[in-house]
Amino acid sequence: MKICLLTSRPSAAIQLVYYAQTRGVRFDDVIIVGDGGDKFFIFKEYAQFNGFGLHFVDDPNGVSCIRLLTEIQPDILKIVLTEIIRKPVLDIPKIGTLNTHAAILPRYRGVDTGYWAVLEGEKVGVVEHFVDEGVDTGDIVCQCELEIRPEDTINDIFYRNHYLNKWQVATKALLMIQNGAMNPMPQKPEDGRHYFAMHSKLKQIIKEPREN
Amino acid sequence: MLSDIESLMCRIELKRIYADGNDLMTAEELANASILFMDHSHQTGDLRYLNTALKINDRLRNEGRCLDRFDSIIQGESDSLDSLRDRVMAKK
Repeated sequence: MKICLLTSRPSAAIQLVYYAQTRGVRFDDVIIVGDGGDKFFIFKEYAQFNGFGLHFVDDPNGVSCIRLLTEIQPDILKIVLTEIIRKPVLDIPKIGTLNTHAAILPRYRGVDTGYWAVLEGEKVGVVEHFVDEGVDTGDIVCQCELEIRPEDTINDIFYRNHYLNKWQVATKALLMIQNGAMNPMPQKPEDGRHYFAMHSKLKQIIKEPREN
Repeated sequence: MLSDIESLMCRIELKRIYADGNDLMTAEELANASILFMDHSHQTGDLRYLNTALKINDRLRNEGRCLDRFDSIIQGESDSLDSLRDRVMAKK
């Protein structure tokens, strides 16, 4: 199975590449949104040492990226992006495109969803889902909830969700697909809510009781 | 299917109508939306509406618009935040 990673957040993505590799998932190609300059030296060295193809594009939805992905013909496209991916890219991978969402779906779609879950006193976690044309509406492959302790600060919660859940869930999903054990769960649009960027005054209210 | 009020909230967020200088809605319309959202948030507990109202209030504050209604808007904002703070502290 050919797995390709497309990222505009290489410092985060390298954590995934490393973690996945230690669990038996190998990325065949990594495409970074960037100019390929010296600041990417860690990824360049890592690619050379581990033998995966490393490519640079200026726009994840642009012509050069579409052309490159069409040449690579991945079975799975794993994305670690800040940009929204459009249909011409989504149509390329044979199995689909995977995204890691740092909140429970379908309840928390959109932006700042970790903050929203904490503010509403709901479960925090990570979901790996297929990407469709909606926002966080694709089929769920797997998810993991985070246990929150009474003494946790907001930073503790987000730190643990990132380092103990995020790449673990992404890797688990890739392993499930690799091993033919995937059973994706469709989301109903009416089951979730779409959240927008949280105002700083609401974020401050979350921080206050956990900091005092 | 989104309700009318949810459609309005999504429109203001997606088109960033709360941002300074955006002219898709007048200051009067934004002030009405803010009051509606704060009231709806208070009644339903859906904090997304308070969130959008806070963004609108920032714009009205920055641009010095709707000054005749601004005191009541800011009072509504303050009451909403105090009430939310109490709820969050109670849960903790």
